[in-house]
Amino acid sequence: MPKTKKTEIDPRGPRFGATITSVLLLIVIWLSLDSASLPAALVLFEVLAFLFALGAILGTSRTPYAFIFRKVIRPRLKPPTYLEDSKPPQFAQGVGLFVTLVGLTLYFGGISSGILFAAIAAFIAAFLNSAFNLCLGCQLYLLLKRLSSRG
Amino acid sequence: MSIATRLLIVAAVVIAAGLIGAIWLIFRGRVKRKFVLEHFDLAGLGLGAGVGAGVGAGVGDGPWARLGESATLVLFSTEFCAICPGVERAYLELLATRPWARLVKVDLTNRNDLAVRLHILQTPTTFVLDGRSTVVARIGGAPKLPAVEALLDELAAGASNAYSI
Repeated sequence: MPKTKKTEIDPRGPRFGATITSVLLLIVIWLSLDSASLPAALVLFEVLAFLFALGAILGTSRTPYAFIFRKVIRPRLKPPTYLEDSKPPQFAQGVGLFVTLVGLTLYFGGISSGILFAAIAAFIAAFLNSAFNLCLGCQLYLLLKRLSSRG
Repeated sequence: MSIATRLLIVAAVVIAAGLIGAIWLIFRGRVKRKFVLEHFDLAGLGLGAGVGAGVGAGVGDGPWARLGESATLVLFSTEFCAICPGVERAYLELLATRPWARLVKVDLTNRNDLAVRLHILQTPTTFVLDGRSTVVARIGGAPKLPAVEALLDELAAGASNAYSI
């Protein structure tokens, strides 16, 4: 079986990113609850979609979150006790991108609450990652493969 | 929408997420003994060398599919599983003082057929085998280590009892 090249990262980096993501998503939820601030929710949600795309395409170590983590947070922390493969968080960013794109598609398709529901779904995932270190992307990976194999 | 209603909804979303996390913490990694597979045939899984890897005491110097004398932990992981390496390290620590038990790793990244066959929905998933390759328990997610320790020692005690009879 060919081994793909592994990049190892500090596992606290993506978790820090998830913390910021969950705060931003909470702001999106707040803004999307009022028609007056819905346009602002849309803009912030699009920014989040862009950030998810960066993480999914370039990898989580090349996002703005990772930059802040390296410059500000990591120097204040003890060295990591272990490193993790960079693929799982990158996969999770792809899942986040998918969820935000679904929300945006619904919104531009005329369902304005699409942003709210997508933001709630993405918030729950980001919050679980941030607060509980639960990687939903990991769990989803096998499940999706299993479902697709059954056609 | 009024500020109060908005606050209420935002708070409800945060509480819901917290509850999901709490429920997950309670249920993940439980040692479930109900699932019993009569004989876990590791060789029959058709794992190529390097896909299933035996680790623990005697890393790299024996056949990869060698099972423990009294107990074996079969750890299923994928490349995407962020916590699997940590679980593996934790298991190796448990095994360091238990030479009669071994760890076998199975990478499911390219083996969806195995995931389907063994009903594995998440990684890490661990099968606990006794000395006769019977699956006596399975663990979904990051294991509750004290329960794993207790089960391993129980298996060792059970094996020695059987031997003395």
